[in-house]
Amino acid sequence: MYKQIITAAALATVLTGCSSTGQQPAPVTEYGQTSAVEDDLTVNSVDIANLDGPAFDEAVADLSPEQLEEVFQSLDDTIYFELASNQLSADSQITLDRYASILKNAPDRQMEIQGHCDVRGTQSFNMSLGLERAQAVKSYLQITHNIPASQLKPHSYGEELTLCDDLTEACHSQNRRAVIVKN
Amino acid sequence: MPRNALAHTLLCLASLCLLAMSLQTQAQTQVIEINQGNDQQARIAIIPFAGKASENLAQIAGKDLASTGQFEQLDDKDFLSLPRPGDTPMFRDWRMLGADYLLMGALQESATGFALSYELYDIQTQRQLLSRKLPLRTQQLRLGGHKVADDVYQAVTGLKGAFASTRLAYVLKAQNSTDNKKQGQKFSLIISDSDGQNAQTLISSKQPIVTPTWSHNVKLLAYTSYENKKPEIIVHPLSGNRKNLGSGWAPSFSPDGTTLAFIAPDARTGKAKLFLYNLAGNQRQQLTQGYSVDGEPAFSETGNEIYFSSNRGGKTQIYRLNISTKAITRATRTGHYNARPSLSRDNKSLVFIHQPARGQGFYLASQDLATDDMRILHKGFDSDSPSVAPNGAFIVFAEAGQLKRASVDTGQVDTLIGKTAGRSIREPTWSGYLR
Repeated sequence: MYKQIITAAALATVLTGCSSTGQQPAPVTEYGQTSAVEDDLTVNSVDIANLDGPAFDEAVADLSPEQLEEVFQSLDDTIYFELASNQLSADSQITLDRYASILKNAPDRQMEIQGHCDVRGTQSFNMSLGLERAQAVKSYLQITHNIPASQLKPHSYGEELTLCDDLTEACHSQNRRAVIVKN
Repeated sequence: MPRNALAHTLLCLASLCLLAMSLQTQAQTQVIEINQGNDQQARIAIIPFAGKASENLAQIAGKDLASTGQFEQLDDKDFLSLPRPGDTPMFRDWRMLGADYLLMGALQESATGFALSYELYDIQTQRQLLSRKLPLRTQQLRLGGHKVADDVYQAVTGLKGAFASTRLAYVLKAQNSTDNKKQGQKFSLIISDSDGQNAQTLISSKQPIVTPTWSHNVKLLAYTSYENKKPEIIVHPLSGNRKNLGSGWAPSFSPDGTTLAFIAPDARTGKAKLFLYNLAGNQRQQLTQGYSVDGEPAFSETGNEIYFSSNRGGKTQIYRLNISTKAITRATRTGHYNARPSLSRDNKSLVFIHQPARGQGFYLASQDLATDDMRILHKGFDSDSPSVAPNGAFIVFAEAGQLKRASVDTGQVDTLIGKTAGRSIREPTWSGYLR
């Protein structure tokens, strides 16, 4: 993760110059705005995702809706929890902070959150418990970042889409997750 | 096959097109009451049925009877003769083998399929207890075997059998075993005979299908579908159009079929809560409140109580809601985790999944509702989704992707469908009697 503060110029480089097409940075027009060509260049969403919190927030504030969507799609989709609780892991909180940033800049974008369980317990009670994980993500975004409820769509998946079915703690911790739905 | 054709096949198989059935009964002798303890099985000689067909009806009937735990089947290697219906048995030979009962049958080809005839004798009294004839289409052969089992079971024990006149529904999840991701998964809602065989697919999907349940008249299934990428309740008549009732899961029909109990998120707190859906009025009504997680409603036979699981007391236990008074009382008394309530039709027993202490397995358990006495019926490691047969004699359940059936009286557990790579059976549910 880059810790240094990104200057506007460097930001322009990130947005346009790190493209794999090797194109030149867009020319500045006489009014100090870049030409329309800039919007056609692919946002290097991976680089943006690697910015630290404040820099990330700054970066996304300048993005077009399409670029915002690209960064959204590039973020980690799996949210993990601490053992036997609905406490979000520290890394997951960082990931969710980034989603919050995007949602704030895209107030019309809704985010679907899936809540999953491990295989222990009955399949149908896990349908109810899975909702807790999805709600934990929603609550974090609402409380910590003031994201409106209308943008957050939590759904339980119980133990229907387990990643593994072994009765081991390693498998259980893989399955205990929330997933942000990507297209 | 087209849906209407499937529905017709299901309904016709279901009732064995009973209008066409002709029973040739002897002057029925009184049913002899046998007081069977677990340690005293009826010894039955089942003669391999005469005639050729794609199914072995004697074997089907034998398996059903053996699964009750109340019959011991004699080895046909020891049989000195192989009588057919119409023959008079050599009673002394059968007495010497230690047989209590003799069952024989024959299948004859007919214009429309087969004619099945079967007879049951009591060896001690030398009396004929049953003599029946039944027309069967080829697709009905297995049901014919189950009907033989029902008749023998009733003649010997006095109890109504549920082998031929009930159905199971369950979910089959098929997955490429090398593929751990969502792609390549298929969920199918299956309707089968009471032994899991004769599987017919009602609907299948790449998205999960969960929590199937029968209406009491066996004309509808309700289940949870993710076809719109979120859990929604579907009511699906065997013949007719399916209806999406919106957000929710774990439906349970009231006995009179007018109402569905189910679980859905509370609009304000987002917690899983108990709701009722009035099917005629298309209205939902919230029954529970608060910050607990509620799940798995099951209507009692009276239609006035709903049993459900909840962690409102800290641990997950089973509670009982009285619909008239709204009072909620706790039903399960012991153990670390009790869930997935299922009621017997006589309203005397609560069957459920029980974990005695943290870290232990999830066991099949039954509780007497009058005395609250609980007993563990089966100590598998991960049993789930128990459902009681309408005669109260059996419980079907899933364990590690396998379909299993337990005899309530004897505790004997049979595996109906075992595990095959990439395929797992989930959430079986036993229907009521077909009319």
